[in-house]
Amino acid sequence: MSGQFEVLITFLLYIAFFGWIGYLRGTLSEGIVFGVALTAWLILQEQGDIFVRVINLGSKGIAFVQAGGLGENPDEAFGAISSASPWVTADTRGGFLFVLWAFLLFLTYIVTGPRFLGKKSRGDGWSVILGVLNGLLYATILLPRLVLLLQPAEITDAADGATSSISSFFGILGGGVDLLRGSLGGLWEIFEPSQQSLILLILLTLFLLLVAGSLRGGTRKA
Amino acid sequence: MGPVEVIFGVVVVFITLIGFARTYPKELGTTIIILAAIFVLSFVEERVLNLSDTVQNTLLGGDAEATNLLLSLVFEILFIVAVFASYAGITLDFAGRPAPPPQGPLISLAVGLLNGYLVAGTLWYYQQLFGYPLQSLGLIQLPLTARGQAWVELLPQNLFESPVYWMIPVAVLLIWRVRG
Repeated sequence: MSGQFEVLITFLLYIAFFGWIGYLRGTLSEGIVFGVALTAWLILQEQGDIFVRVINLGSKGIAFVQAGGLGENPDEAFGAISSASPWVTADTRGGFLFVLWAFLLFLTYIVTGPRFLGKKSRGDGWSVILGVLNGLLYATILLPRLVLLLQPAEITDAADGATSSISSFFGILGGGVDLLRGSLGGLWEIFEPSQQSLILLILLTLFLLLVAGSLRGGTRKA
Repeated sequence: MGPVEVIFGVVVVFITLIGFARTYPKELGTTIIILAAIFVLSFVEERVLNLSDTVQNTLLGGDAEATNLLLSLVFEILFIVAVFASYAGITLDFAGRPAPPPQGPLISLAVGLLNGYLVAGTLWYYQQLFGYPLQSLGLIQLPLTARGQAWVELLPQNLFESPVYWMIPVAVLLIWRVRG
């Protein structure tokens, strides 16, 4: 129970952090970042070979130039193309695509920063939601790799699988909801029934007060 | 018809959608009336139950099933009338505009869900209290599923030890509304 509770607090802190970042950066910035991060991730997972071929074309181009392909007699240089070893192999494909995605994300964060967008991007409820979505997306992509640092042998497969399917995004989301439900359920059982009634009453009253307090421009009705 | 939780689940969904459409300044007034109705019915419940034997023997010729059906309908119709009154005609709206999206619609959804739970839960409670008399009319399918049995413990009237508890949020909301 206590371990699960710690995980829950960590998860909530993580979500709150990204929600707060989202609020600070504003809806437009967070929307663009979410769109780019998700689209780039999906494209790189589904059509990543295109980018691998493009980068490997570069290695062949360099080999061609180094073999004198731009000189008067380029025939020998054409032979060097076939023998040039590719920069990205099947083993390094995953790492290359991940670095490409991270670079795109980094670039997007700079472009959507306050220097470029100014005050066009304003913080509101949507920006918090988009911030949280960004946090969940990053958890889906980064978490398996971070855990890989600690337990490489056990979860290599899990890391590969986690980046190859959009279902892992919903897996993180569902896992968070399950964690919340399990932890709150465990916490709830600590209290006696009479205390539970009182807590429910306080929560209900607080909820209604918060709702009433969120009304804007409230004046007494005639 | 179908399992009890499905029927009352549909009621919850309908009332949630109505709440979402009306927005929460209007729904809060409905919440006050529903909570007050739950309090009043819970307050008189024991007194009415004490009369059930008399009703059964004098009015219904000792027919226990008919007595249960009659009493459950009395409670449920009284409750439905109160809920209907909170939705129709001059209502107890709160002044002010709802928060902008996404907070506003989300709050409306949450308050609608609360109202849905209170309404469907209360109707279910009076069915459960009187042994599901609507079963004889073919409107409810028994026995309860495992999920249904678990949900019975979460019905509004089973949450608090005393019906007076329901009046606390009502009082707080009324003070808020009067304060403006």
